Amino acid sequence: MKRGWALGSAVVLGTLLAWEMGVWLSGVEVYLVPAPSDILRALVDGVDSLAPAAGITLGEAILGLALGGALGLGIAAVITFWSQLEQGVMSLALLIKSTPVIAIAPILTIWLGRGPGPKVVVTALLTFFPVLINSLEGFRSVDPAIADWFRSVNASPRQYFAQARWPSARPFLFAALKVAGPLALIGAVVAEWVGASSGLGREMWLAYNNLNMPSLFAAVVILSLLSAAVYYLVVVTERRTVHWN
Amino acid sequence: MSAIELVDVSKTYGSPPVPALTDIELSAPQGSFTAVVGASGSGKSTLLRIIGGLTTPTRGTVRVFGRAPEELRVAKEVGWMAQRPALLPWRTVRDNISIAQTINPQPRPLPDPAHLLDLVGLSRTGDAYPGQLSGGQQQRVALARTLAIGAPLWLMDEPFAALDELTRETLAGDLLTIWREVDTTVVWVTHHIPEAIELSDRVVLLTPGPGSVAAVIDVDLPRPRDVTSAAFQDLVRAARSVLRDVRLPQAVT
Repeated sequence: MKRGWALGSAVVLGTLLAWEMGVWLSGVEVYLVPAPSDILRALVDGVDSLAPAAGITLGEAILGLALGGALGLGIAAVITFWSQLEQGVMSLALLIKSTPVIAIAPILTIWLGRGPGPKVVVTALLTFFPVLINSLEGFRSVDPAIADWFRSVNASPRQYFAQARWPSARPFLFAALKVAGPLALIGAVVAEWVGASSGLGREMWLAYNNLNMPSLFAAVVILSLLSAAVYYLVVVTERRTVHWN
Repeated sequence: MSAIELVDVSKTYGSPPVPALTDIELSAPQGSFTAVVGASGSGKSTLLRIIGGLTTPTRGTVRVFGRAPEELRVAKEVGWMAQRPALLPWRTVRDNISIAQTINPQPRPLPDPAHLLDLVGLSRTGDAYPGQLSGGQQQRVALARTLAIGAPLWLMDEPFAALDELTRETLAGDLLTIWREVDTTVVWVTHHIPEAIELSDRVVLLTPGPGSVAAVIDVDLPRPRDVTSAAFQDLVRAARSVLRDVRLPQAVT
């Protein structure tokens, strides 16, 4: 484990060093490719604007993920109880999933303004599908021997759902959240690019328009770190709550 | 009075229909231990599911304690135990037993889960999760869960098939002791002839699929049974001979 960490750190440090050296030796302009030291400086200098922006984006992503996740989970539960709804609901879900977010985001911005509203909706639209698909599969993944036992004691559909389907679906739900968590941040940032008064996407857009590459990269670094943090938060929560898997 | 009565029972699956059981005639007295023996595909498990109200027959009549099997299942009067323990891995051993009592509760006195844990020799593992137990221990928990609902009928589908020889012997002994205490009717499915003769009062031998009753052997030997005795071996030979005659190959040991 320790060796793995050491090796991973060495690879990252080696890459950064090679990048730094490459920029210095080639003399490439900072507005094209900034060196890691330039990005670090931009991070330190811009912390007063980047930190609150990251907080706003993270907030929008979490709200959107909660909304999309609840929607996906809820629809999956409804389909589990009433399977005759599956074809209609899944066709609609697939249609929403197939529509490019970049096409919907401007419409939502016109409708809902430049505040957090459209970002939350875009994020929810992006995240609900993986949660829906995985939850549905999870609800249906009950071990047939366990299903037989519940039938043998004549458990009600509600009891069966609470005691067998829901716990069986939990590992599937966490698998979905590992994908949907980082996706939520991407959704929020894409929506902010289209039109926002604050957030990491807004910071990136400003940096892009000013050809301020170190600041643009600094925002990307923060976004990547947030994505990794969200992923590991899901992993840690899974370890605690799905201990049997 | 017969606890279980099957008259002319047949079962087919799917379309075009594939027959699983044909013209089964079977009866078992109250408090008896009946073993059903047959090779894979002979319809043993289907027969058990029909008696337990988990599957409906395509033709024929089934009465259990004079009632339809479905009625018994709804009243939670069937203790079901399968080859795999089918425990809930997200619940502790104690919860796995008590959940059997809290789901679809019935107005009849039920045994104390702590006493059941003690009975199956697992009083110290109540707080453990099934994943922390051995296969034999998990089957003991499944047995305690079957006992927990206080059902007058136990249907057991090769519950010891996945266990090693020594664990199987110990569990079989424990099961017989408990069965004699609670006066329950048992139907036990297995493909292992010596196990059937060691445990049961009667052995029902099924033909290869579609299964029908090839013969019924009464086992009139005192318990505990000496598996090395000549009488025991004679019964094993007789059962094997019947199954060979109906062209049952090596699958039956």
